[in-house]
Amino acid sequence: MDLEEAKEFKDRCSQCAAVSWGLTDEGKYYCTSCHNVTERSREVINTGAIPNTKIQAINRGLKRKRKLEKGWDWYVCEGFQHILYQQAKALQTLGVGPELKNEVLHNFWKRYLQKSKQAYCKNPVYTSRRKTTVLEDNPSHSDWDSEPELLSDLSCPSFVESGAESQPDVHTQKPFPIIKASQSETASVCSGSLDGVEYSLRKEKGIVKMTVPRTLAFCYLSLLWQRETITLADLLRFVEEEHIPYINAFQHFPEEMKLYGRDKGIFAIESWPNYEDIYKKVIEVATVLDLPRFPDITEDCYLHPNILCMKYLMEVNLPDEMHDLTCHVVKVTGMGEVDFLTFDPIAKKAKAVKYDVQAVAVIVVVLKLLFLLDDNLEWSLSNIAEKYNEKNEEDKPWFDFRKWYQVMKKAVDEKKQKWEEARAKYLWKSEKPLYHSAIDRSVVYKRREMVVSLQKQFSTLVGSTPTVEKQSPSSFQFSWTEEGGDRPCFHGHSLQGVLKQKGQSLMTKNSLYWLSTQKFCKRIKTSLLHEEVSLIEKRLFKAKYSTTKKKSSRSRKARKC
Amino acid sequence: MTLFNLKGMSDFSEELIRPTTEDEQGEPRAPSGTGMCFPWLQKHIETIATGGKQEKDFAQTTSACLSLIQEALLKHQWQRAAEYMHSYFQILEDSDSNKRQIAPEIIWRLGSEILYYHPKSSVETFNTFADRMKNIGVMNYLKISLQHALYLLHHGMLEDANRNLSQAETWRYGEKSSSQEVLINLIQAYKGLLQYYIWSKKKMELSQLDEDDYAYNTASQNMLNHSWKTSINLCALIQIPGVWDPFVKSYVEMLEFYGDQDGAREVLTNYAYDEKFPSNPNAHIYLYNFLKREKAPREKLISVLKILYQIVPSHKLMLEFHRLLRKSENEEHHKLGLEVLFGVLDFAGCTKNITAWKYLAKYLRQTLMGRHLAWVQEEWNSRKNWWPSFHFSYFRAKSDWKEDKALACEKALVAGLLLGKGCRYFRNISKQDHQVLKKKIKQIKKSVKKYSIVNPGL
Repeated sequence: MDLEEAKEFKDRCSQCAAVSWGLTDEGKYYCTSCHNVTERSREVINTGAIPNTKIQAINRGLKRKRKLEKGWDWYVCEGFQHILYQQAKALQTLGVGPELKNEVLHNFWKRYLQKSKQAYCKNPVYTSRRKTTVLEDNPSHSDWDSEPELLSDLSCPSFVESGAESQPDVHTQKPFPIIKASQSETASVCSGSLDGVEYSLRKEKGIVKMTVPRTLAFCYLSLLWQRETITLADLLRFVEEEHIPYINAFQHFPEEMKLYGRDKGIFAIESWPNYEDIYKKVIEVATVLDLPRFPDITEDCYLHPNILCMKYLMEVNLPDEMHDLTCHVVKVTGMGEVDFLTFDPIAKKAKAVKYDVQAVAVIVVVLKLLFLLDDNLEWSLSNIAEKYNEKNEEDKPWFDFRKWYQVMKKAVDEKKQKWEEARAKYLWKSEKPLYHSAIDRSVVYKRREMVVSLQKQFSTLVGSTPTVEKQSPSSFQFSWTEEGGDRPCFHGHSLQGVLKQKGQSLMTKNSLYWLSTQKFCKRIKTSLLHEEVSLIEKRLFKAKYSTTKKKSSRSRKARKC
Repeated sequence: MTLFNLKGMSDFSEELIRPTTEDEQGEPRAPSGTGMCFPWLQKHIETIATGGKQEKDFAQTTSACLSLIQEALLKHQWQRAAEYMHSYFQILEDSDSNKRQIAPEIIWRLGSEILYYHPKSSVETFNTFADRMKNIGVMNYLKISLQHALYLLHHGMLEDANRNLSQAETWRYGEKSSSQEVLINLIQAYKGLLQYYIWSKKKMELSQLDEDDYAYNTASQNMLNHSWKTSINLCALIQIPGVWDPFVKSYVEMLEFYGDQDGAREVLTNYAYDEKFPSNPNAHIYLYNFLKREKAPREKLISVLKILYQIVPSHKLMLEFHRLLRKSENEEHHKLGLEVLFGVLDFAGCTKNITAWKYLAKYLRQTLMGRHLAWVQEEWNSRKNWWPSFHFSYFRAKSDWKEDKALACEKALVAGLLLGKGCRYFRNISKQDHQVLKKKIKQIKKSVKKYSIVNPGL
């Protein structure tokens, strides 16, 4: 109960006969000596020259559900800003240059806020909203018109490092007074943020609502703009390895930014980001932000297929000699062209290149060119290589596909199993639980307590096995060294066994090729890689393609490469 | 798992491209004929059925975790199971309320299993865990309390178990659903059983005291109190249809001790004959033994055992049943007596039972002597195709003679009577030269010659 003195009320208390009144939260008078609550409530007498603060106080007194937890007032997009900040910092730790955080991402974000009319513009969304809502008990407030200032960086850490660490002392200033006028009063619908409820209900055309997955879209756009050496697949992997905040990123919000109610649906996600989903969002965000053509991806960029192919060849333990072939395929299909590679949201059909998948697809195509991969030729070629290697142990060994497959499969299986186990053991819930409303708050806290105590009990049984160290972030998931043993390195192996001289140049011994499925059934989800491979093959065999029938689900054609 | 009819990969891809109207329901097509099973495919089909909407990764985590726990338990890898269990607890906070509701029971079952076997676990750990799990949600309290008590009993902690049960007994929550009612009765019954155990111990102590002993009266009074408490607890449960062997046995023992024959009879008769109760051979055995103790008339005993015969024809009491039937004056019973013997020897577990063979040999001879060839033929008709190789093979002859000559002789007589003197078994045994059994073998030969059903002279 608020201890507000209500001097205007002069009646005697029916229980103790004192004349000393205060106001409850609901605006009813209560006796301050015996705490007897009356049914009389205060009426607002004149609304004329009531200063703002008084209005606030009255407002608080009249029928307003008390905020569940005291803290700052904050808006949802501030929360997202904070998350982006955390992510940018993490990227910086991973080795990305500081301009990404200070300039690129910051500018993208500002632009987003402008476009979505949340700040940095003439009539931010908040005012207009307040003007149109009809308040229940106070019609006098509907023409309150103090505008919020620019949603400055004051309420969350500044993107730009200004020398010393920007810390919370800036936060005590609030740029504009806050009145929770239009908040729905029912207990079940509330949120820690000021506009959480309204945010989740908002459905506007033409603008994308910020979500946690979209933060990754922003990150990726910034990375792409800076042409950093992190692909989308890498980014998502770092997220899953917890090097970049994503799941429960809200846990790092400052203490006073309280989260509950509808905020839960906005900030607490329970799924890992999905490549295709984020890819779509990247294009979406770039379009909505009206971004211009991105900086050119040239041959010396990391994202250029020539370089990415080299990287992946190394990672997948294939011979370096294959690189020439990948470059050749890239050249023939025109995939190395600047215009093909550079992201241009303004172009008619905005498409972004899946650099990582594409590079791997090139490698697959080259493998098909060399080994056909019809579950027959590759094994016979392996037999030949094996025989040669046995006889000529001194020379540079011929690449043996079968051996490579066995080594690689084993490594991949091991990694996959560890990954699956890690996923099965992942703890999704945040340490401090999120609740929907006052009613379920205690239940949620109790549940968390129960879970924590059960976990504690069982952790003593888990025993002395050392917990797996969180792996340090790396661009490479596999690494191979020249020392043999059971993890031989194939980088230096020769492709001699599968190539033959033809005049000045080398040709593959294999002269056949089969094209993968072109037409995909609408309801079957195809793998990304499969799609990319088909697209490359289309480009590679373009001329011959147009003469073939398109109806067949799979065409096996002998082609001279 | 759905089987898919795959004629070849090319056909398969054809199937995929077929227009969607056929599978509008999204149901995986059930094939006919032979099919191959592709679990990974099933998952894809499921995504199609739900319109491609996949479950959240949280749900994937918990279900993967659950399989890993189960796998670890199967392999007795307790530490690994505990490790995954640690992560599994988060299901108690699942945003899906259905999953949240069923979580406590799953966690209890898996967790109690781990704590039972894990080398580092102790009774205290188990107790803490059980107390926590009891209080999650209201519907689990009784079940977990009961299982907790059983665990304590297992570890010989009778007092703790008793305390636990007493606490659980008083639990009430709003309108009890009928399933909870059974649990409460079960809890009371186990409490009763514990008290029976104490009573039983006191009985033993008492039997060692003299009647004149000053302590006798107090001890006996004490015992009486316990028995009264026990009966209160047990009788409620016994009314409910179910299989309550240990409870019934204990209760009846107490009733008999205090001379309440009628009470005991009523309980046992009810337990055996009430149609609502599931068919339970033990019920009939208890009743039979009781009636035997009471020296009930033969007719009564026969009627009780008849039912047991119908349920478990291979029971060892069948030999006793046969004896009763044999002694009866009723000719129907005599016929049944033969039937029962044949029935017993149908079972592999009784093939070396010398008593059974002795009885059969003697009775067969007796029956044939009494000119009841028809009875024998009736029994033999359904068995003549398989008994010879089952009981009377050449191999058997050799091994039986080696193991137990008396048995072999009895069998030889039966074989001879049923299959004639030309059968392998009979010939083999009758050829044997043995000092002690010489006379017997001679007798057998004589009987076979005279009474064999194969004998044209008969």
